[in-house]
Amino acid sequence: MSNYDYYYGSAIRDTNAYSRPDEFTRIPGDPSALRRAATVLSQLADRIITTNGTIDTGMQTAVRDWQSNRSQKFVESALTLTTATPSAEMRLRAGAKALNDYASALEEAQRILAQETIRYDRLATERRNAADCYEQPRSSVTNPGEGGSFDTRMKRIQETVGTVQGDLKTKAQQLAIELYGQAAQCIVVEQIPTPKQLLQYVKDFGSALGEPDEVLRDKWSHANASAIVVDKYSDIRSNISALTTWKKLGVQGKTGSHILKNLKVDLDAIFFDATRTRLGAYEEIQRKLEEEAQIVKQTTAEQDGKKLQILINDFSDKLPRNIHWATTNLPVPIVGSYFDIIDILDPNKPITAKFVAGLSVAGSACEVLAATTLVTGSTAVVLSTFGIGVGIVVLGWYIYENRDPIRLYLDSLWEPEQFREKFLP
Amino acid sequence: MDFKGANIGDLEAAGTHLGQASADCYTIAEGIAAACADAMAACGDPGIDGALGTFSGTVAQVMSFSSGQLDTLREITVVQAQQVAAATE
Repeated sequence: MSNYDYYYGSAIRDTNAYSRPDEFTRIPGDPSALRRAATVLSQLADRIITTNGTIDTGMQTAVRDWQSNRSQKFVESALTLTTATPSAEMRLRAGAKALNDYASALEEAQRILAQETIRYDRLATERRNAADCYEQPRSSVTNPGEGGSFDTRMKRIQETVGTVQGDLKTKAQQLAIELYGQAAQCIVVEQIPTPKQLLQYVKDFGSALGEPDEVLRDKWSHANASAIVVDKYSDIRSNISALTTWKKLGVQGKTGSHILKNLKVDLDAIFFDATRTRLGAYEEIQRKLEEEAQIVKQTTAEQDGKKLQILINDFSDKLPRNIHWATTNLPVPIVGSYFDIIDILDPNKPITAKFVAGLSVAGSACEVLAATTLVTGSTAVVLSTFGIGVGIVVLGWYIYENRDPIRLYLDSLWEPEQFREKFLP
Repeated sequence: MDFKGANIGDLEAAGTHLGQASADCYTIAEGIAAACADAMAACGDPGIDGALGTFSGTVAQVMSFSSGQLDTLREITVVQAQQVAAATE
C-alpha cells in the first residue's frame, strides 16, 4: 500500500489503524482503599500509645509499695521486653505515610491516563474523519498553544502516558523500598531478645521468685512459643551480621538469602553471577548494602542513632574493608573455581553448564600449573606439578563420585543454625 | 521470700492492666495484618505486595511478641499475688 493509499484510501477509515498503543493500558489500583488502609495503620499507631500507657500503669501499680530488689528486676525486665512497641508505632506511621504518598501518585497517574486517553481518542476520531492526516486538528484551533499534526500530537500524548506509567513504577519501587526499610529497622534496631536470652530470662526470673516447678514449666513453655516467633528475627539479624565479614560473605549464598529475600535485594543472584563477573559481584553487593544503609540512616529517629550506628558500621565500614581484602588477596581462578565446582555439583544445572564449568575448573588448574612451571623452570618442579595435576584429576573423580554427600555438606554450611554456631558469637 | 510492702490488690490490678495491654497488642497485630492485606488488594502492583507482606509480618509480629511478653509479666504478677496471699495467711 502506498502512502497515498494509506492516507487517502481505505486505511484511513480503518478504526484499528488508530487503536491505542500499549502505554494506554489501564492502571490498576484503588487509591481510596489504600488511603483507608493507611488511616487504619495510623489509628493502630495511636492505639499503641494508649497501650504503652496501660503497660506503664500496670508496672507502676505492681511495684507501688513493693520494696524489694525483686520489684526492681520486675520493672527492668518489663522495660527491656516492651521497648519494641514505641518503635512499632513509628514504623506504622512511616508505613501509613508511604501508602498515602503512593495513593496520591496512583490517583494522579490514573487521572492523567484517563484525561490523555480521552484526548488521544478524540484526535484518533478526528484523524479518521479528516481528509488529510496533516489537516490541523480542531483542538489546535480551540487551543492555539497545542500545535502540530495529528501524528505529532498523538505521539506527544503517547509519550506523556508512557512517562506517567514509568513515574508510577518508580513510585511503587520507592514505596517498596520504604516498607522494606521500615521492616528492617524494626528487626535490627529493636534488639529483640534471642530465644536463648528469652528462655534464660524466664528461668532466672522464675527461680528468683521461687516459683513452683509447674508454674516455671508453664512459663518456660510460653516463652518457648514466643521464642519460635522471634526465631525468625534472630535469623535475619544474624544474616545481616553474617554479611559483614569476608569469611561469612564467602558462604552467605543460602543463609544470606533469608534477608535478601525479605529485603527484596537480590544479592543472592548477584552473588551467584560471580561465576561470570567474578569478584565484581562483591562490589555490587557493597553498593546494595550501602544503599540500604543510607535508607536506614535517612529514616531513623535520633534516639535510635547509637544502635543504628552499629548497623551502618557493619554495612559501610567493615564490609568494604573485607571486600578490599578479598579482591586484593584472593586469586581470581581460585574464587572462580569455587563457583564452578558448585555449578558442577548442582543437580539442577543442565549437563552443558556442568561441562562448561568443568572446562573452567580445568583451565584454572592449568593456569596455576603453567604459572608455577614458568616461574621456577625446574625439572623437579615440573614433575611435582605433573603430580599435582594427577592429584587434581583424582580429586575431580572423587568429587564426582561423592557429589551428593558433598552437596549435602555444602548445604549444611549454609543452614542458618549451623552457620550461626560456626561463625557467630 | 521478700514481700515487703507488696500489696495483693496492687498486684491483681497490675495483672489486669498487663492482661489488657497484652490483648491490645494482639489486637493491634491482627489489625496491622488486616490493613496491610487490604492495602495489598488495593495497590494494583505485584511489586508492592512482597514489601507490604514483609512490613506487615515484621511489625505485626513485634506486637505479637510484645503481647506474649506482657502475658508472661501478667502471669508473674498473678503468681506473686498468690504467694503474698499465702505468706500472709
